[in-house]
Amino acid sequence: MKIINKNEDLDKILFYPYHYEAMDVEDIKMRLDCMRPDNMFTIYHSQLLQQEKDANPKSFK
Amino acid sequence: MNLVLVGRHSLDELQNLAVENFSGIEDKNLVQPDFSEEVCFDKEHSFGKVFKVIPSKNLKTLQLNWVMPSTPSFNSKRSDRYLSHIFGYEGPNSLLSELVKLSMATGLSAGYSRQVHDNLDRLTISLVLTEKGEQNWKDVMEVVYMFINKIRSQTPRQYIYDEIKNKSLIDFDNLTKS
Repeated sequence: MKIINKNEDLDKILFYPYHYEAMDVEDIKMRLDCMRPDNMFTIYHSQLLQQEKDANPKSFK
Repeated sequence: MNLVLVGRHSLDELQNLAVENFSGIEDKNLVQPDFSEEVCFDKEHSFGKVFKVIPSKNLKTLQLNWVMPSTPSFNSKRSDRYLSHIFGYEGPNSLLSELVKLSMATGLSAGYSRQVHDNLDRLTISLVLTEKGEQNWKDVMEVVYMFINKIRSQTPRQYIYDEIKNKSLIDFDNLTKS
């Protein structure tokens, strides 16, 4: 069993989710470039779709 | 079955807490399901698509999801927080303010999920639509993409990153003591 004895070590673990190193401009740009329609899926909830389904039931599985 | 307790109590106290609260749970020796062979995001059938759902309640929402390369577990650059902040911001010149101005949406939330699959993260923007937005959901998507292009054309701003970082420090300083 792993035991953490030092309070400082525990503080480090608790702080980790709040820790920010430095902004990585290239990483942000790369992730923004991923925001393209061919890399996306959309979920649309609407009761208006009922009319579309009534008109063309086969288009809904 | 695993259990981890973290606290400032002594080992004996933690052990007593564990025995007191968890010893009644039966270990059924279940094998953890292995999804490593599953295709979580099927590029051919999932991407570039709109999944239309007819809800039983009067729900008018549009959820846009983008898949991104995964962020390593011990990465503290926090590009994920920067992106969810940029798209989730609700002040002047934000995506939501544009959609509200056009009477197309009343609410927005943006979130970044890390490692939804082995090598993939997911950024989600969820919109609560107005009737106008519901009828013109393709226009809503267009506004979202116009906003993305605007953000893409700008260099990421250091002061925004610093704001997020400072807010995080304040959150840590005000954590409830356990």
